[in-house]
Amino acid sequence: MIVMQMNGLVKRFGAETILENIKLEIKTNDRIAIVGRNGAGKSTLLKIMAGELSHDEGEIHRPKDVSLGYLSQHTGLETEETIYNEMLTVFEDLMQEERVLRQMEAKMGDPAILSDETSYQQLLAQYDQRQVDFKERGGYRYQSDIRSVLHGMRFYEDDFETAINTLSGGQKTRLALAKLLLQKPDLLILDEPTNHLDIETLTWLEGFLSSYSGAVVIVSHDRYFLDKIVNIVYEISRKHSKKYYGNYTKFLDQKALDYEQELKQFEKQQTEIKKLEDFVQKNLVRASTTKRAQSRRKQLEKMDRLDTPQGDEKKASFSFDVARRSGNDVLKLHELSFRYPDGDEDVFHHVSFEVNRGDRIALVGSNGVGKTTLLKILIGQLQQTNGEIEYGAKLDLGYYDQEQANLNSHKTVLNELWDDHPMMNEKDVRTILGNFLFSGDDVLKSVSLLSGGEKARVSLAKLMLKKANVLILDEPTNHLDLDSKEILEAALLYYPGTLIFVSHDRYFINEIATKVVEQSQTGAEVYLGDYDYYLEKQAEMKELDALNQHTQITTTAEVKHSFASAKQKKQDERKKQRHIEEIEQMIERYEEDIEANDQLLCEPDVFQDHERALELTEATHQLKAKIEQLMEEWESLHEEE
Amino acid sequence: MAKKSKKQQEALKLIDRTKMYDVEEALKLVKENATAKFDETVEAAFRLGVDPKKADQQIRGAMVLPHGTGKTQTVLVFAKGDKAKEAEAAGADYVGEADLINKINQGWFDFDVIVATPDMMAEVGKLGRVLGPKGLMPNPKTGTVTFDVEKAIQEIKAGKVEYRVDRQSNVHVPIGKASFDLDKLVENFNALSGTLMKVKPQSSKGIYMKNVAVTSTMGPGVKIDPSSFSK
Repeated sequence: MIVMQMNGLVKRFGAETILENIKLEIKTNDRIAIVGRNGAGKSTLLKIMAGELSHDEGEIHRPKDVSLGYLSQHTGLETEETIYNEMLTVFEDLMQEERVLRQMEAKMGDPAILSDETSYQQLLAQYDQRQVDFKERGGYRYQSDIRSVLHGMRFYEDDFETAINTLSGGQKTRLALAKLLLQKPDLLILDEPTNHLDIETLTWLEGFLSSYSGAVVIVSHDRYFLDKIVNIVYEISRKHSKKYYGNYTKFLDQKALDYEQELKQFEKQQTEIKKLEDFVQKNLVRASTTKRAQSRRKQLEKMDRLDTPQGDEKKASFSFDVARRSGNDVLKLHELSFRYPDGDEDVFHHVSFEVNRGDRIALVGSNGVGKTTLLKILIGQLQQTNGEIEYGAKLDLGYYDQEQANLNSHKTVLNELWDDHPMMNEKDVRTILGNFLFSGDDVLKSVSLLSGGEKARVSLAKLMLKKANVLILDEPTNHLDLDSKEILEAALLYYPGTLIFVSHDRYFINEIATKVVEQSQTGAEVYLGDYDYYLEKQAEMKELDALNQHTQITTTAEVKHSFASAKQKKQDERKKQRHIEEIEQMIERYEEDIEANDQLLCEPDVFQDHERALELTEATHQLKAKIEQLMEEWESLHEEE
Repeated sequence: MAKKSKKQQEALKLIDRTKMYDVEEALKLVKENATAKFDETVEAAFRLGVDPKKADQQIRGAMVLPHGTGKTQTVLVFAKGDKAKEAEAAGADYVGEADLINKINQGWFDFDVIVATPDMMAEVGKLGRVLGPKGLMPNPKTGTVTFDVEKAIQEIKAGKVEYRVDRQSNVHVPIGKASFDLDKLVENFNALSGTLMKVKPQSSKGIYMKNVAVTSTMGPGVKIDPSSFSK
């Protein structure tokens, strides 16, 4: 079933056209990604879909009974209700229906109704219909649904009675998403849902969305996430939309292929045009050939000329540099703990780790364990409750705020940068902004009018100008489009200073981090490797835990099992022993052969015949190589014991 | 594709998947193919030409099979006073009021069907969240909300079956056990198909009996030609 169709859609902001001739079709069970540059109009398109913005031309068709759910980029629930009660509001109608059913049941015993046969029968018929409807609509299921979605979003029974307005920003976003998922709209529109989710929640969401019964439209800059979920990609580029089938990786391949093909066709047509034009020019004036030339000219006029295929749009480019080198020891955190003045529990405690120059540390951990808080303590915005931080020599700290609170929304983009560095001339500031994709009049836009991604780029530009030798980044990849993200990755990879960052983008962490610090309420664990290594270690620990538990519980079944495994082990042992013996024998045999060869080589008629001598030395070499191999095998077998 | 077991392959040899059988032939085949180690249930499936989204086309109800389903149902009755005595006399397995409600609330479910008198429904309704998900809520259309407890219990004990269309307009009903005699199965089937024909909603258009098949718990399905019985 088609859930929504857009045809020839145009959207303008004032005189500027944002979207032009957008064609889009959404069917039930489609998993659609909308991709494009920051500021390409993806969020605008979603808002038009959701009916929050009007469009200027074109048409949108949506069947009347199709329900629609939209999660915008910066939503969070704001209410005094408790988590569970807020989720219950989604099922208000079902709860009302349940109350009606209970009332009807109570009425059944009413003597007044019982005495009147018609009204009694009517009541029974009504009750029957409503009872069946109630079941069909999930009346018996909604409570378990709420629990499962809340668990997925990592809210547990203990949290259910917590008032929502006491939660953190990330938690509120997660609740808004949870509420939307519970409504189960036919068309689910999510604008960057992955921004505030931690990795576990993301994995859960991937699973949930994959088996979602309606259509899903997502804008996201998380490659892993898109690859897992979507089967159709719409690219918004240069105001137009183009449809690709397959997941995100496939889209990239297809796009490159398309570009190549278009370019080939274009070149082919160009040579053809050139040929025709030449012919016309040469032959038009000659009487004998002028007819032919005229017909060719007509052909030329009729030809559908292809536009020059346009490759990738301009990418942001930047690199981070340092003004001076910091000391080798950058930071030493010792038994740090933090508690909000009005809080009754530590956000975290016993956090200790060291940071050396050149480290690229990823700080991971679930939402709400105080990663942002820790960063804020490092830059001195907050004061730790207990513990010490030793700062190294010659540190210049640069901080990237996930909320972009350091931007002044009344200024223009140009002034935002210029005011911080008044000694620079306008041209230089504009060049830098140009690198961050703000060209021409863009720099005169007010910061408050920028999209999320554009604000992020302004913040990064500011950070770059600071030339700090320690960068502290709080979710730098949020809001950035995929290309900008790649460039940020490259810039950070070649950054000569020290880096501490929080991110939930798995790909990003894996690319950048050389150390992973896992923060939890009870402390911090340092893993000396990238994100894959961290995951490996975690899996290992889990296995170990499971193993420990396993050994603790000894049951008769296990005794049986251990007997079988012991038998197997003995068998393996014997097999190995045999194998070792075989190897030893073979080595012995080869050694004998070598000796024989050596003796042969000493005989005069052999060493004078150079061909035969060569043959023999060759054979000896091969035998030696074989022995070497066998020795290695023998060694490894012994090591196993 | 999943591998077919030996039993499955053998069973399929006996059946011509493209052929529409008549009722007797079909049930005979089903009986032959019921080779599992237990007494398999024989089930009939009907695809009907109704739109279950429309309230007047929702086919739902209960009927008594002439030879029962081969299972005895455990019946619990909520009734008070005379009705409770009547229920006990009629052979209900459990009869009670608040005591049973408490027991169920604590997780006791040793029964297959609940019958309630209308005046008890106010109390039974409180169990909605417990009984609903298990499909045990009494319902007037299936005859489990009634003052005539005696009849209700007797019918259930005699082999009353419920039928209802699902979202895809299918009706699935058990019509007995593979150990039944063939003519008993045929009579049960005819009684069911007759009832379904009788409850055909007036607003249903086109062919009413679109597809019919019978099968046993472990055996393959055998298609029946609807015209062989629906005339």
